[in-house]
This record gives sequence, structure tokens and C-alpha cells, in this order.
Amino acid sequence: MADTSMQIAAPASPWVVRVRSGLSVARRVPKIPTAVLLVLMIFAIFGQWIAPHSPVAVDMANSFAPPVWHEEGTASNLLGTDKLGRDIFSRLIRGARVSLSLSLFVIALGGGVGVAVGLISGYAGGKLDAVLQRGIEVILAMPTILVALVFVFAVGRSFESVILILSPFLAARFARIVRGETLSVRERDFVAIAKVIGTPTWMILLRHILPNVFNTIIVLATLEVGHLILLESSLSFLGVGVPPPQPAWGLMVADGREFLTSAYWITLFPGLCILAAVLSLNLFGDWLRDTLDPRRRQL
Amino acid sequence: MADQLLEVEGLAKHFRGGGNWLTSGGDVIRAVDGVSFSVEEGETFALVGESGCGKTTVAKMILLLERPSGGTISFQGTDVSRFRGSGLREYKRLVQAVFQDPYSSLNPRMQVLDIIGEPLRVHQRMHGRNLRMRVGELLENVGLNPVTASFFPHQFSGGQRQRIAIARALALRPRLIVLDEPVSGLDVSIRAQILNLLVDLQRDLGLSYLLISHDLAIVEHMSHRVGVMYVGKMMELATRDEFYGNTLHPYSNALLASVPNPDPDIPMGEAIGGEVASPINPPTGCRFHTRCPIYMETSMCRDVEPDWREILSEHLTACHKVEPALV
Repeated sequence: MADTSMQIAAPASPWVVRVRSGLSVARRVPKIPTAVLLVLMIFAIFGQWIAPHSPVAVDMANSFAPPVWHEEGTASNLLGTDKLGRDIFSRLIRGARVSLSLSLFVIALGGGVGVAVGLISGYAGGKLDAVLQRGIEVILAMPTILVALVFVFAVGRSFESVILILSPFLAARFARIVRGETLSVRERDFVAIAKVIGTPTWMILLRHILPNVFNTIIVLATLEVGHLILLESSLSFLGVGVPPPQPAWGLMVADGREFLTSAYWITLFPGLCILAAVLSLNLFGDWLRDTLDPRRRQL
Repeated sequence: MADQLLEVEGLAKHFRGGGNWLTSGGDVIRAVDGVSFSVEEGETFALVGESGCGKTTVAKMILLLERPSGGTISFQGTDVSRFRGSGLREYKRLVQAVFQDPYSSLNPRMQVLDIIGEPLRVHQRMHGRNLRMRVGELLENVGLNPVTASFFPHQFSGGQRQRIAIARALALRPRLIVLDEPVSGLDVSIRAQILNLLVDLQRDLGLSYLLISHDLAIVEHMSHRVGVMYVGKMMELATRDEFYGNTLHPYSNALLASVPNPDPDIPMGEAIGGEVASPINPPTGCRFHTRCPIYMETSMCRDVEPDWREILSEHLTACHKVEPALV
């Protein structure tokens, strides 16, 4: 019986398998994106000890100092200074915390709620689904910036209020996409079999549906980080983002906009940071998606 | 007659097609329209018919995946729709299913241990060492190596996947397994192995099967009794030997004639023409009259729905042209 004879090498003990697969996973991690993300995380966590200057120290005598490779550049301000003479390099390092933690909080809060709503909406169907979807459409139809303006004027400008106002918009985007995926997964036979077995609904959602929509969630989350950093910058530009003088990358890009021709470094370096962060997160997300998929994972 | 395990009485399922809450509903699709049969302890009851005749809908209603529009399903003498709480749990323990497509019926994200372990976790809160041992045992029962418990579904062939699905169905020591086209998705070379495995398991564990199939060769090999469905109605019901030896209904005859014979010297039977009638607007009178080879322009076949009659002992059919031998 060709069907029953499995081609199996000598059965390795579980821990051998685990160590071996752990090593191979580590070997396949995308090196550059992971390194970039690690550096950014170190900046975000230990920034205050790494940054050579205070990110908010104003030095008007030294404003618009160019980066070190220009003739007038000094080693003290590696990447130059902005219009108030604040050190760009230090602000970038400290800004990593604001930009990344803002995105993380919004992804965790909005994404978490959105995934839950999407799963329930897609799985339950019927009236509940219709009600939830209309609610999501209402949120998606609202102009983010305008709503944020009103909200921030009402509750005051702070890091927390930016998180609170961006989360529902993110939740709506997650809910919509997760619902669509859930609709297709719930029709698969293994879900029907789970119902036949009598598996409780919460367990069907967590063990059968969620793992099969996880790819989408990972990809969406990594994409949304970039989107959120940009949104934060728009809000900052309008004066309702993270309150200055806290450094945030988006805010820095906005600050330098009017000096683009004379002092490009104020805008360029935070822009590059956003690019590096978003690109690395996307590449890392791709790898994570492949690693989480048993079909693509080769031991 | 052995003890009845499952009894289906006048079962019906009408789907409302088309419209939504804005347009006040479309046509009614009579997928299943009054079907009665029973499955006895330790036997295989086969439900056969062309695709679209409602076999799978019957299975879904028995598995509580669809709510019947009419009729009753009784399990061990109790109406299934009355089951609540522990009764419902017990029913879900005793009735399991194996579906056609082993690629869709196993969650690709789960290890075999978790797939086969799911019913054990849900019903018996089994975990750790006990769970691993029981899953290993079940894998051996279906002819797979227990080492494969840590594998994922994509590492198996179709036949092996179907064995995993069978192991999962066996985990809770059920009484009845609904087999919905269990080998249709498999290579012909693998089918016999899976069918023999099912027969062996039935013998060893005293299982009852409700076998849903369109393949009359498989039905002859596996079943004890056969029911033929056409457009939501039962056409004929008999023991296997009666059915294959003394077919009464012209539709059953047509089905049997369409089975290819491996001997080229035996001429192919007369195949019937036409398409399966639509369950949205089924023919009046006998549903089969539009394709029936023995239909004659009698108003009887066209206008009067034939009674479901016992023609011989344990041999029922619905056809005006068949004369009852029983008095």
C-alpha cells in the first residue's frame, strides 16, 4: 500500500526538531530589514542615551547648519540643524520613539478591535453583519483629517488623543478586509466539520478562522504602519498631531517643507527614516507571513 | 430488522433563492422535498442520485448544518431538533462526518495532532500525553504512522488526508458517520483502499454509515440498503441485493445502465437523455416523467404524483407503472 508507507527519516526527538527548525528560521530572516528595524527599536527605547544633543534644545545661533559633509558642517551636528538650531540627528533618534510607538499603539488598538469585528461580522453574517458593515462604511466615509481636527480641538492636543482618533479609522479598514477573508474561510469544509464536532464558536474563530486570515492581517499591519506615520505627519502639519516640541518624523518633514530648496536636510533625513522603516516593515512582514504559513515553511 | 439508529421522516428543505430583504424573495428551491428513510445499527445506508438531487442537503440537515423546512430527524428515538445542552453535545459526539474534499476538510494551519485532537479536546478535555497517545492510536487505526502527528496537511497525499479525516471522525467513538462522497475526490487507485478501510472499521467498531454517493459501483461494494433520490424526492428504496437484482423504478434502471462495465463485450445500457429537472420548478406529477423511458402520454404520470408504496417486502418505490406484488 503505497498510500500508507510514509517516507520518514529516523524520527528525531521533539527538541532536536525544534532546535533545528529554530536555527533554519533564524537563518532565513531578511538581514537588512531586520537590522534596520532593530536599530530603530534601539533608538526608540534607548534614544535619550544615544542622542548627542537634546532634541528640543534651541540654538538660534546655529540654525540651518548643514550636515557634516558640507563645507560649513560640523561633527557636532552630524545631519545638520533645523530652523531653531535643533540637532536633526538627535531629533531623528528621539522621533523614532514617537513615530513607532504611535503606530504600534494604533495598530494594536485599532487593528485588534478591527480584527475582532471583522471575524464576528464575517462569521455571523445576517443582520449583525449588515449592521456592523453599515457602521464601518460610516467610519470609512468620514474624512479622517477633518474628524481629527474637530476631535483634537474638543479633547486637546496630545499623543493619546492622536491614538484615539486614528484607531477607529484603522479598525474600520481591518474589519472590512478581515470580514472579506472570513467569508471565504468559513465556507471551507474544516469549519463545517468543526460545527459537526460541536466546537464552540469562539474556538472556531480563534483556531480555524483567525490563523487562516493571519497572512492578510500581517500584510495589512505592516502596510498600515507606513500609512500611519504619514497620517501623523499630516495631522502635525495642521497642528493637531503630536504636540511640539516632541520630535516626530512626520512633523519634521512638515517643518522642513518650506526650506526644501535651501536646507534640504531638514526634510530629507526624516523622509529617509520613514522610507527605511516602512520598507523594512514590509519586507519583514513578507518574511513573517511566509514563516507562519506551514506550506511555505520547510524544516 | 435491527435497531433503528437514525430515522428521517418527510424531510424537506426549501431554499429561498434570489432576492434579499429589499426584493421580497425570489423563487423557492425545493432541494429536498419529503424524504424518508432510516439507518440501522451497524449498517450502511446509501443515498444515490445525480448531482443536484438533494443528497448533500439531506446530509447537512442530519449534521445540523442546515435547518429542515419540514419533517423530522430522529436519533435513537428522539427528535434531533429537540436536543439542547448535554443532549446536543451527545448527538454531536455520536454523529460524525467525512466530506468529499480532503483538501478543504483539514485546516492547513493545524498539525495532524490538533486536527484529530480537536474533537477529543472539545468533548473530553483531553490534553498533553493522553491526547498524543490517543491520536497516535487513531492514526494507526487508519493505517498512518503515529510519527506523522506533528506533520501538517500539505505534507500528505489526498488518500492520506482522507485517512486523517476518517481518524478525526472516529476519535469520539461515534455510532453514525455521514460519508459525503468520501472517495470522489481521490485517485481511482486509492479509492479501493479507503473503501476497504471504511468497511473494516465498520466491522470492527460496529459503526453505521450514511453513504452519499453518485457512484453505483461503490454503493454496491459498501452498502446494505440503497435509496435513490431524484430532484428532492426518494424514487426507490431497497436492500442492496434487491436493488441490484430486481430494480423497479425506471430512474434506478437508467442509473444502473449508465455505470460503465469493464467488459467491452457487454454493450452499454441505454442512457437516458435530458437534464436533471430543476428543483425551482419541478415537473408536475411524477418528477421523472420528463425523462422517463416508459412514460406514455397518460395523464396519470404527468398530473398525479405517484404514491410511495411498498411493492415487495422492504422494497419501496414511487412509480405508477410498477404493480405491487404485496396484497
